[in-house]
Amino acid sequence: MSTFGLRAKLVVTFTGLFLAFTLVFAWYLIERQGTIATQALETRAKGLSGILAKLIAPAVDLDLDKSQAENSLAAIKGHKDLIYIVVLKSDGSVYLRHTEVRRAVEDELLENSDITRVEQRGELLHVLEPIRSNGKDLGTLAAGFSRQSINQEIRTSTRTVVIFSAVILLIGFLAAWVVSGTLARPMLELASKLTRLSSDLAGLARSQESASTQQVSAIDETRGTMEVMLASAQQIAETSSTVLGNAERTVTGNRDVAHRIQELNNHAERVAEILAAIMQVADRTDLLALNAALEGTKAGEAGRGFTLVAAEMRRLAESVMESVAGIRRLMNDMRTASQSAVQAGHEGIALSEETTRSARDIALVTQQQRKATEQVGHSMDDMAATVSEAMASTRKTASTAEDLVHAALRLNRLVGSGHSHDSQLYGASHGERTTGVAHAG
Amino acid sequence: MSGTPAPIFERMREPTKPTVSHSSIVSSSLMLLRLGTRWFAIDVSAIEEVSLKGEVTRVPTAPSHILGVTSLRGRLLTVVGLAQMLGGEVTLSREGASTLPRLVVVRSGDLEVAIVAETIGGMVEHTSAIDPEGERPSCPFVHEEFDWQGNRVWLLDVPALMAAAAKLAGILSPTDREEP
Repeated sequence: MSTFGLRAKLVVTFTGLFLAFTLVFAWYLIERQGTIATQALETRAKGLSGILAKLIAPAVDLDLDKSQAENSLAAIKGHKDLIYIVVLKSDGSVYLRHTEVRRAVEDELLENSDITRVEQRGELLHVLEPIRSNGKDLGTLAAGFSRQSINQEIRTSTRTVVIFSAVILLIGFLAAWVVSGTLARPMLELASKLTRLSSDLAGLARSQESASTQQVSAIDETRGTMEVMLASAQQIAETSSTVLGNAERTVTGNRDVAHRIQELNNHAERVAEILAAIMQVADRTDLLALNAALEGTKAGEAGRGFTLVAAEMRRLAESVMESVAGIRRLMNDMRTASQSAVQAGHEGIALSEETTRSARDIALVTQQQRKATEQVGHSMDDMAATVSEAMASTRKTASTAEDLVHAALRLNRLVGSGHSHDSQLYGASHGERTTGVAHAG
Repeated sequence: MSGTPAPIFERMREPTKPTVSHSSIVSSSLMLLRLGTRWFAIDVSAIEEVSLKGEVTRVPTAPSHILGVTSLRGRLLTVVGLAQMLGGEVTLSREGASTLPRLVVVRSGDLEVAIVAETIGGMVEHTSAIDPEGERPSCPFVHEEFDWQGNRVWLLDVPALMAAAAKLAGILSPTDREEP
């Protein structure tokens, strides 16, 4: 029965109901018809028997000839249901016996009766009617009536009822077929659609669960990366602090070097002044020696020695001047080098200050990065909690979708008749689950 | 004035009277001085002294070879520039000079002039044979030329130099005044 569909079930149910109703209706109708016909026959038999008893009472009372008595019954002879008439005298003797058909009268029924009695036996309805005249019991009239007409009428009615019931059953079957078709087709489509939708929902839930799993894994990886970044930011902050200290010390050192070089330049300027004085003295010495040599030369032979001494003094002065010139060149080179050193020191100071600013910026940015990384970590924690909750909800949704799939399949089996369709849907659902698990893996 | 002026000594081709009129071998002490790339020599007998080149005051309307006047221990001396007198033949340069510029005070008779020298090379003894009929340098105040340590040295004739300077300045030289 479970393999039948809703339509078949509806058709069978409605047809069965119609059949039961028709059977009850036919049974009731036939029974009622038989009862009514029997009651009508009894009434008619009683009436007819009373009339016959009154008609034949004078003949019995007077004990007339049997033929005269039969004349009294001539009026009822030929009645279609009357089978026999037996008139019993009060002493129990048969006064008259009339039989329409050749049939034996059951003698045990032939007895006097004070009241009108009706008794049904077999196909006959027996009526015992007392015959009275002037308050004196003269005997009993026994009459037998055939039930054949009643049976015929019942058969006719039964046939009519059967035909009518068959028509009603057919109409009911057609109505059930149409109504079941009208009800079952949308329900079948709805069940199929519900099955597909629930299968899709289950697949989607499993996909979402898989995606949530991957998302949780990605969040874990991101959180690990954030922790590494946090450690790196911490290390960078420490390194930048060290760089900042070194840069500040470098600035101080460069300023000290520049100050020392400036002092060195000042000393060099003083040395240059001293050299200028020496140069001036040497130049004057050279000049004096030259004039001395000149005077010695003018003095002739007497001044030759003086000339030689003057020449030596002059060479000495020139030597001093050459030395001073060499010292000046060295001083110039040193001044150039010191200026370059001062320039390099200024550039070094600028670079160190730039390095200091950069280190401060790096420290600030690193601090901001660390805070941002910590915030990202907190956000990752919140996101992981949210994703876990979402995953739990997704699992619940998947479970609900599975239940819905099963319910849809049960509904589909209940509504539809195709077992293969259920298997197909079930297989598709199972396949989707396998695919989802494989994808999640 | 257009173009480069001709050297002053070319404008005074007229030779001055030579101080030595007969051929003889003369040994003299000379003082060497450098002006630019050229070396000159002056007989020490004509040199009064050598001093530092102090402040030289330019004289208005003076010719270019008269650099100005300077005061030396109360004496007012005319400063003569040999470079200007020689025109483009002398290029002034302080390269290689270890001393300050000097003024060489020379005397001819009663006249004293100061000649600017960038470097004094010292004293040398020079022996020369002077032939009055021989070929003389093109410059009228150069007595002769000789080589010294690879350099060509012009021996200046101080009286001729002073006469040439005076002539260029438009005044009579002492020699010219003596002639009449």
